Amino acid sequence: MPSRMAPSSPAPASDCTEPASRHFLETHLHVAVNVLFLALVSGVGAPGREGILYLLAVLGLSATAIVQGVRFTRFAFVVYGVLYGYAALSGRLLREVRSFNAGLAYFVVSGTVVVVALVALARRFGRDA
Amino acid sequence: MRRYSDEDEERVRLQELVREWARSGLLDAAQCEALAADLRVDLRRTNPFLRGGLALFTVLIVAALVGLVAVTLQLHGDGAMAALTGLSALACIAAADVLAGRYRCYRFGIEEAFAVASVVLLCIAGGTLSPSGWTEIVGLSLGAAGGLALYRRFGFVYAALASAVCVAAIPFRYDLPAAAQHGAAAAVAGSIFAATRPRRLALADDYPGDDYGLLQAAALAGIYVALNVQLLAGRYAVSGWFYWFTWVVTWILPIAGLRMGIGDRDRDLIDVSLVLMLVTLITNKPYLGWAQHSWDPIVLGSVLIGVAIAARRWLESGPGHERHGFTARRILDKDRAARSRLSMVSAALPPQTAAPHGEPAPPEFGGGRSGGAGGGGAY
Repeated sequence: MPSRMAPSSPAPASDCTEPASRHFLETHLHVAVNVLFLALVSGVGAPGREGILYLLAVLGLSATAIVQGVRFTRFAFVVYGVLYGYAALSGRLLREVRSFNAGLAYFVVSGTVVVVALVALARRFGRDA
Repeated sequence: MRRYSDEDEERVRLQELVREWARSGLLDAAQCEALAADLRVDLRRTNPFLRGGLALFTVLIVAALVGLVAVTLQLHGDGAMAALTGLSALACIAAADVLAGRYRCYRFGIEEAFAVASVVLLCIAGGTLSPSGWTEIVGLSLGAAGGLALYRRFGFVYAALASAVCVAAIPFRYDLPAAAQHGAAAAVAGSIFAATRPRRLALADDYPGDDYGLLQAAALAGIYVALNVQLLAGRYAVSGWFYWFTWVVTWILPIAGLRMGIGDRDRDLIDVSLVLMLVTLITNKPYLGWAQHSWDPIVLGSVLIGVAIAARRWLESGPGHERHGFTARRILDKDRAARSRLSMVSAALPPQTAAPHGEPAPPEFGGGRSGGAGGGGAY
């Protein structure tokens, strides 16, 4: 088993050579995506067609976040897409469910579907990114 | 007893280092591939974000399933609920064990969620069955034992930390003087620090030395949290000599930790000590009973910027841009990721404004409705 010492002759990467805009790009993306999701999810509870439109917008943004997150191997955005999409869809669907049992069964079934999908994704990419 | 062999644990950690060195440009792709081939393990792993997502949804499934069984079978009474949660705990730990053993899941999220859920369900079962007045103590004791068992079985460091927190919380459930409660909690954390430090020094970064390093740093933070009475906002108020003793300790602990961390080249201990020092600076005014002002954070931030710039310049001006093995330059890519996360948190947190310190508004100006020129207020 090799020793856990750092290799010699490191070539330190200087922070000074990296433009601030590029360095903070991912930070800005995280904040912007969360703000956008929160703003849209907050509108899903609106009555009538307005709520449906917000739901569609959340689902569209979720799909974009998941696809782009997988494409650029930035899995935080995949998880944002899954979480916000699930929250918005569940919030809307559970409004129509009157039975407590049915609500719990919904969480069991939908949660299992999400876990299976995430496992498939995790197995595809392993420990990458 | 352990679900993963020492060799697997060591290889996983070495894989992480090789990946980090490759990302940081210290190894080229060919070197990385050659080393990775030597370090292959049959464990199933995943990305930290997917791991979190999997854990979250697994917890959701377990909670909904237990609730569904309780509602469907119309279970009422403590005995029935304890039986349900106890059996669920057994099922969860069995699922975690199978996932870790047969399917070789390692920090995959699902097996972790099942394992943690089993301890939580066990605590609920124990608390439900315990006599009145003992609910919390029994729950915390079971949580402490369960957390330790998870660490022994699966190597979850956070489970060991949760176990220590449960033990430290037990004195606060007894009707003791506040000083004794704080002292007992600090003694628990101190004993963990004393137990882990020699092992950390002996093993350094080699497995399980890294686990001991985390536990040691967390134990230092635990002593501090137990003794900084300002953190609990007067909930367990102390006074007299013990109050001033804790004030002195809040200054000594970060300095001692920083000194040990720098001496040992222990990054975890250095980071935790710096955070504790920052907390000491923030809580010092409340400790001394001095007036807090809205510009306090500005002054603190300016001082911290000044200290950071001075430290960076001092390190940069040393021979080879380093002093005693410390450099201000970023060598590993993970440091950049850590800074990105920190900047993200700072951007996400809403700005805190200090409560204005001064006389409260006279009661005759209270009440009224916005836009109504105070109409409706009680004059």
